[in-house]
Amino acid sequence: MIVYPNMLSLQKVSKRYQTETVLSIDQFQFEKGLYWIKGVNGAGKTTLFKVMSGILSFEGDVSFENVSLKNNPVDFRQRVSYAPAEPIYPTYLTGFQLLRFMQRIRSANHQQINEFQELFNTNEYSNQPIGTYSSGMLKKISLIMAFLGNCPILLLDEPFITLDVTSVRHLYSLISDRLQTGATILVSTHQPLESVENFPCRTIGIQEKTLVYL
Amino acid sequence: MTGILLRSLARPFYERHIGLLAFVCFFMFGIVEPSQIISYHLSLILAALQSPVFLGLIMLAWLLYTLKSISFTRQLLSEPSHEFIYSLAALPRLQQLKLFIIYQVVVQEPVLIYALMMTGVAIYHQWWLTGLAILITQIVLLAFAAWQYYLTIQARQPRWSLVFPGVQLPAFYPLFYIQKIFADLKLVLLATKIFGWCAIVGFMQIESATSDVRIPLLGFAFALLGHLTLIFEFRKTEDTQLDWTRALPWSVGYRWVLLLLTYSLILLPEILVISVRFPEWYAGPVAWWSGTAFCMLLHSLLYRQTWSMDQLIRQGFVLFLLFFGMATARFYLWGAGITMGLSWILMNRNFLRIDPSAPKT
Repeated sequence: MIVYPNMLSLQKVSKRYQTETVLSIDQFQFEKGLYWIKGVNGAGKTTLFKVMSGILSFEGDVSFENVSLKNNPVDFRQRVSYAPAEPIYPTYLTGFQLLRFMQRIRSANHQQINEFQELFNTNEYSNQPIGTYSSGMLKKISLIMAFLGNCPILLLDEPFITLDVTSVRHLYSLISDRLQTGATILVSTHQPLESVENFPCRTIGIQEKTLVYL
Repeated sequence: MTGILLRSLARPFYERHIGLLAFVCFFMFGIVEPSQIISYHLSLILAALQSPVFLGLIMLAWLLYTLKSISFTRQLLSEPSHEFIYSLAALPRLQQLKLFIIYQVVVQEPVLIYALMMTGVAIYHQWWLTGLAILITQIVLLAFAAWQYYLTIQARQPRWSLVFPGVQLPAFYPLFYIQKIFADLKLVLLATKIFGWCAIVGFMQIESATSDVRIPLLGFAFALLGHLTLIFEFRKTEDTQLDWTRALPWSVGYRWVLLLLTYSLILLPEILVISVRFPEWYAGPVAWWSGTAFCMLLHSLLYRQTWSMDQLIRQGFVLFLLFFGMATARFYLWGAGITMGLSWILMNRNFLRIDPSAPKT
């Protein structure tokens, strides 16, 4: 098996739901940078992200900098942050509770929460229970949770849906900041992904259950 | 319309509680010789009708049953799949109440049948007041439940609720479960804790209860059995609202410890009751050790690709019988240790192998 030490690498990754194979990726490597993951509905984008973040079980392995998700699940998860397309959190918790929770897990400083809250304008409602949020409000909390700390891999599943225009702009600036630190960012979206300054966006499609450069 | 209500609410109620009802049925009818069933129940009913304390306990059990059915129904109504029932709010108030009373009669049928039998016996013996009290209790319980459903449908939130306003606990994972209870499972918690308290205090009435730790433990076994719904709901929450925590950099061992902490908090009231009522210091730690082991094993058994409440009830009863036997045979410390070890093995083996999935309700 070829190991690419500085890359996010997928080796013989296969995911099945009951008898239906959804993903079957022999080998694929992501270098540092921005990737646009494209695919029709049901192609397996969300499944791919959930597999790579360790939420779903799968066959094969995913590794980054010689850290394998299968062999070192805790170390690998420390390096990956995932923002779901349709976030679901306990409706009885407040957004701020979740942010504080994630801050401690990602060893982020409190200043970062304040900055992101100000950027996405979530201060007004983050002390309210999540059950009272609109989908856009919830999306912002979920994105802030993903950006807290300094994870070198960010998996953003449909990050732009339900966001207002200003927040989309702020999200692009956050992506740009994180790319400058050498992160690998995978974004799945049905909208055209703009190239971030100095960082060309590479487009990857999910076709016939595997990843291909487009 | 009644048919739709019964199919979408009453059927799931019985499907979910079939194990528990079968267990109660077995205790009521299965342990007696068929030829003696009538005389057995007649003497049971006569004893209840002649003892206000016994009758009070039976009425408390009816109340718990009603609270349980209300809690279950409200839970179903909060799910997107049952949103269509909210359209009933467009009907006149009396018609809505009538529908919900019919629904509650169906759900409360096992209790109603026994209550009617008791009323019949009371009338036969001309104990008019007792018979009337039983009838009024049933009518009040039916009306109370129907009114709760009516309020839920009107405002999508009942006005009668055990609310803990402004409680915002620290962002600590075990407290997510505790908050879940305060937010969505208040009635279940109330019923579970009342049942647990009655079981422990009831067993503590036995003469040797303050010198033999096995006696409170036997009562505790019943109290633990009452926690099945909470265990199921915790596991369900894990796979629905907390599935994102699977991506957190936590080892399975750490997750297991967090669960242990969660169940320690949940069982704290029962552990305190045992500690206070039993004079020796070790009663509390023994109750904690055995109680958390019971809950942890049941929780770990639910780390499977397909899991359901029926499965949990069956496993719960088996574990209850084992717990009861171990307590009687003074094997509780080792037994709980083995149970705890099994729960760790099961979770360690299965947690990363399974996907979050919706349970069969």
